[in-house]
Amino acid sequence: MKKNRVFVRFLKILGKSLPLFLFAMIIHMVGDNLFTIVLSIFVKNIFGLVAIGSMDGLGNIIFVSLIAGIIALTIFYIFGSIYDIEAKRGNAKVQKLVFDKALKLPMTYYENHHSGDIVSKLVYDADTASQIFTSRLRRVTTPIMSVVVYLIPMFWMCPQLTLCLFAINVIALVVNGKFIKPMKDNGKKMSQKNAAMTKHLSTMIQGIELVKIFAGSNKIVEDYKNDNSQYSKVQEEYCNMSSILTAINALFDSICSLAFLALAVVFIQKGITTVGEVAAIYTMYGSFSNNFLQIGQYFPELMNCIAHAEVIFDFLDEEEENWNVASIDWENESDKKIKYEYIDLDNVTFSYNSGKKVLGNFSMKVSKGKNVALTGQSGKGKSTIAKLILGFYPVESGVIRIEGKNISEIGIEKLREMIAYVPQMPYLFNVRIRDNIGYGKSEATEEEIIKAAKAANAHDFIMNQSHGYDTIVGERGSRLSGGECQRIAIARAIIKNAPILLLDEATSSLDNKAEQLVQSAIDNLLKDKTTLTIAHKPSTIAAADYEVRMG
Amino acid sequence: MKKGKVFLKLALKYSHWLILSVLATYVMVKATVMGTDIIAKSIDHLVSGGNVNVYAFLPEIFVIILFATIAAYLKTWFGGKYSIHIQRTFKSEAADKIVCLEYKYFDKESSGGIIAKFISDIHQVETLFSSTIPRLIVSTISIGTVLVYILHLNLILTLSILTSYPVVLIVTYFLGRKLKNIAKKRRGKIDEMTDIANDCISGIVVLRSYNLVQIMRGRLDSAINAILKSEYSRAWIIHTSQTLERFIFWIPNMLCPSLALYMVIKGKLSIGGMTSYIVLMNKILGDMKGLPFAINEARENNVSLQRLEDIFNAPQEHSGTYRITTDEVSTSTNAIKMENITFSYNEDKERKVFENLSITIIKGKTTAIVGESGQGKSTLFKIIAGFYIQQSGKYQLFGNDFSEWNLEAARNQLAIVSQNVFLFEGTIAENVAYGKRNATMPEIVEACKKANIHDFIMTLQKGYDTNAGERGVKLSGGECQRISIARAILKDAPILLMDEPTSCVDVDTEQLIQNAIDNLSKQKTVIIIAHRLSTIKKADKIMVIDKGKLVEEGTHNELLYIKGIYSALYSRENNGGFEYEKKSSIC
Repeated sequence: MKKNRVFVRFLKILGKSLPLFLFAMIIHMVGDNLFTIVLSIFVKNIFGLVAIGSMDGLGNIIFVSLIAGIIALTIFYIFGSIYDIEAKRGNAKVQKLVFDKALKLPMTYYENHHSGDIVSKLVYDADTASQIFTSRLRRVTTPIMSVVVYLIPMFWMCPQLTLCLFAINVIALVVNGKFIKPMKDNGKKMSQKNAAMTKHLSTMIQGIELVKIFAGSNKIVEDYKNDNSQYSKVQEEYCNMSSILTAINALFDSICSLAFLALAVVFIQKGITTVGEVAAIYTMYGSFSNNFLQIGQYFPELMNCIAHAEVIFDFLDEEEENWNVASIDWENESDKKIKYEYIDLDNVTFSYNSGKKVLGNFSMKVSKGKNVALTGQSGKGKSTIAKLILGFYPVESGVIRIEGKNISEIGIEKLREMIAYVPQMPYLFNVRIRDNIGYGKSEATEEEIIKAAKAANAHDFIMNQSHGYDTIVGERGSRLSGGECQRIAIARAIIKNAPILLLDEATSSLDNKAEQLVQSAIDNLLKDKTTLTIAHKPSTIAAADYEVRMG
Repeated sequence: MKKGKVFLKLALKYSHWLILSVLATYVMVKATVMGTDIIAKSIDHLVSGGNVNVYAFLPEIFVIILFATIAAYLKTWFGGKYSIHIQRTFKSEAADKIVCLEYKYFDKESSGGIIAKFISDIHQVETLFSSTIPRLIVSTISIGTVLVYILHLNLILTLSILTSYPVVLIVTYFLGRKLKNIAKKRRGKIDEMTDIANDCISGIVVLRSYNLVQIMRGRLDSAINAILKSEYSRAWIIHTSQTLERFIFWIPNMLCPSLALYMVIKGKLSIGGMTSYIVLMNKILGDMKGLPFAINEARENNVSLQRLEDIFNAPQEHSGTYRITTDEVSTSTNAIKMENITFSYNEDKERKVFENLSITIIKGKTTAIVGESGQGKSTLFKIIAGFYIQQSGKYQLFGNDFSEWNLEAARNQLAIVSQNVFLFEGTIAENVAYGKRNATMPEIVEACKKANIHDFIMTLQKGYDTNAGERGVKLSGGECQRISIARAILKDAPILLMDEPTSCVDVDTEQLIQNAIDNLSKQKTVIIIAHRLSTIKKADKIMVIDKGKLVEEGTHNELLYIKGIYSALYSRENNGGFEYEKKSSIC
């Protein structure tokens, strides 16, 4: 059964801690049950004394119970803490796995999936699935264990009565089981509705400016409310099922008590059992039936968590960007005769998934050290070429070569080490300015960062910020203007000092003055580098060595 | 347990469901108690040697069972309805509220935080209403009903059951407070984690091209580890509290049966009575044990409730009552008039974006605003749209003070094309349709033609039904920009604000957009922020902003003549005197 495999695989995430986790969980439950049994036996012994009609030995009974109880509680506490901590660690591990995966997927995945989906897996699904560790597993096994633990003394005292009670409870459990599938389906529906609502909310909030300005955007709010109503309806279905279940369980409970009464009376009158035993069984039975029915309640919940674990695994099984693993040794290949230009696109054909053909047998060559401007109407594939060179998508046919080597053989990390990319809309992470620049080079020093900032004409405005280089740029760089963001992005590219520069209209947001300064900085940089500039502005095009026009 | 105002209102509004649930619970519990009573009396009867005729009880028992079953259904059903109504109403009202919040709320709170609040905190509050509160009700009623019953039978035994309860309550209270604080911090850390995840996924292109996977993982790992740390404290407290509770409950568990034994032997209590007591003691202790735990859970849930309350208590945008009539539009000469505007962002009172800025935008004309980047031009648009309010100075829209305007009516006069185009994951048609309520397809097509994007859309396989992707990722920068322009055109507002509308397009497309703007300016007031000379040149008036002030104003030629800042920025380009022209002739 697939569920089993998902379940086992999920447990294995704990790795080396799994045995400790399971062990601690079991011992913790043993401690809890032991404690309850100690109390039950105490009661039984009291009833024994009642039957005898004497209070002798009460002191002994109390003393023994006390000791046993303290031992049980200590076990309960120590192993409970260990179990809980391992469970929480497991939760953290799941989250790290999910996030790690989220960063390595092929670019097409991000274009076809809403970011909210991915984040929801990290926050919502990982959390719910991890409940397997933190509570659900235990909640299902505790009743199972305590059922066994109670049944034995009850059976020993009066097998007939115990069997009858047990039989009724089993029937109740089966009836509970009938509800598992409908409740699980209901849970799925709720999850879907929830995801839809999250998406609307995300759109509303990220595009809040639009929502305030454009009246037509009220549709988003309406959509959200519609989904909200539907969600409530699904909840009501669940409520109905849950109510019926509660009623059924109450009914069985009552029937059991009734049966118990009837049988007890009969058995006592026939001399099969004593009042003391009946009383003791009755007290134990209370805990027994509570626990037994909890299986019926917690099992569907466990199934729900496993469903979320399945979602997690489907995600973790997604293919990573791996169409270009390093299969040649860069160093050794270097002394081979280079008959290709530095950047060489050879009969490249490419279209996005939507079928829109962007490049058809396209060829282009860029000599080392040259600056080529790529121009043409928007949407004709200029940015796409940059993305292909960066290895974000595999080409359908044709070859892209860097320094004569096929980029699908260089290895993705090596390829990207060689290229510094400044995209059209510069993205800044919500960290300090210095970190954003420093991301360009691992272990960048303070001097290097400032030098790069100066070269990008950013140093002055950075020093004007309230915290200078330590200023946090805000979500998507919202605390800075477009031109300021662009200059930081350029500083980031500068500090990387890569042999190839890909500039996608890198100065579009800059005013003329800033553009000229940045352009001259880029010019200095360009001296040893090979540059591909996607350009619209005449000034940018004029600055290049030659122009490739797409159309 | 402190409930905020919104939830309190909702809790009261739907309280009839709650009351019904409470009643049903009482019936259910009472039935159980009565059942136990019958059993106890039967056992007594048995022990004293009598015969027990089970059949005599049957009718009574069946009635009890019937009531108990129906009551069980109703209690859960009513409780569920209560919870569902509250949640649904809250979510609906919250969505309306969020849209009206002050713009700067979204500056302070990152979008990840707001979304996390909604989804995750609502989840917690859902749990509060659908499970914690019902549990509290059931426990309280059980305890109350049973206590009344056994009190009635024997005072001493009842007291023995209650002996250690006060201690439990005190211990739980203190531990509960600690748990609440931990819960608060934990929620904050989860916000951080969500923000980082959002940040990384949104910037995945840069992340991958700079090989930042390890570094970003490190960022999230720190956030996750921080959460883990707070979990350790929480685990310690919860386990201590659980163990303590079990230990403390021991006492009545020992005391009650021992006392009962004593009383039975002294003849003050029947065996049936003793059995009754033991059974009910088990039942009530179970509930009493669960009660403080449930209260603590409620306190943790309450943290989420408070965070949601904060959304409701955040300041809303101010709106007046003034609405314009068509007469007033046609008679006013100034579309926008700003006098001595001083503005700085809250956190940075020293760094003034504008200082005594005065600007007049004449109706029906095209005005270009230029200046070095970072001088606050985009901020100006935000003030015009009422997203931010100036600290001092007057701002009039069509002759009326902006603060007197009804906000919706004021914004109806404006259409914005911003620098960072936001397209959402819907079809192109849907994205353009944002511009106008219930826009028809012909209207959408017309707007797209005017924005020169229609031809491109027709080349797509699915045309207008093509999905734009999240933030328009499936389209190029220039295409996004033109769709954004089409959206603004569709709105047909008298004032058009364009922030760098041609920054991402090539010269040819720019020309076509320029034509569209030219056509529009015949009937509308257009304000453009731009760098490109070709866009600025044609404006009726150009305003130069430097260091937060308006420094130059005039037509293109007038400003060149002054030989000021504008001239310095653009004269070279105008004369075609590129430094680089020499290089290009070599190739």
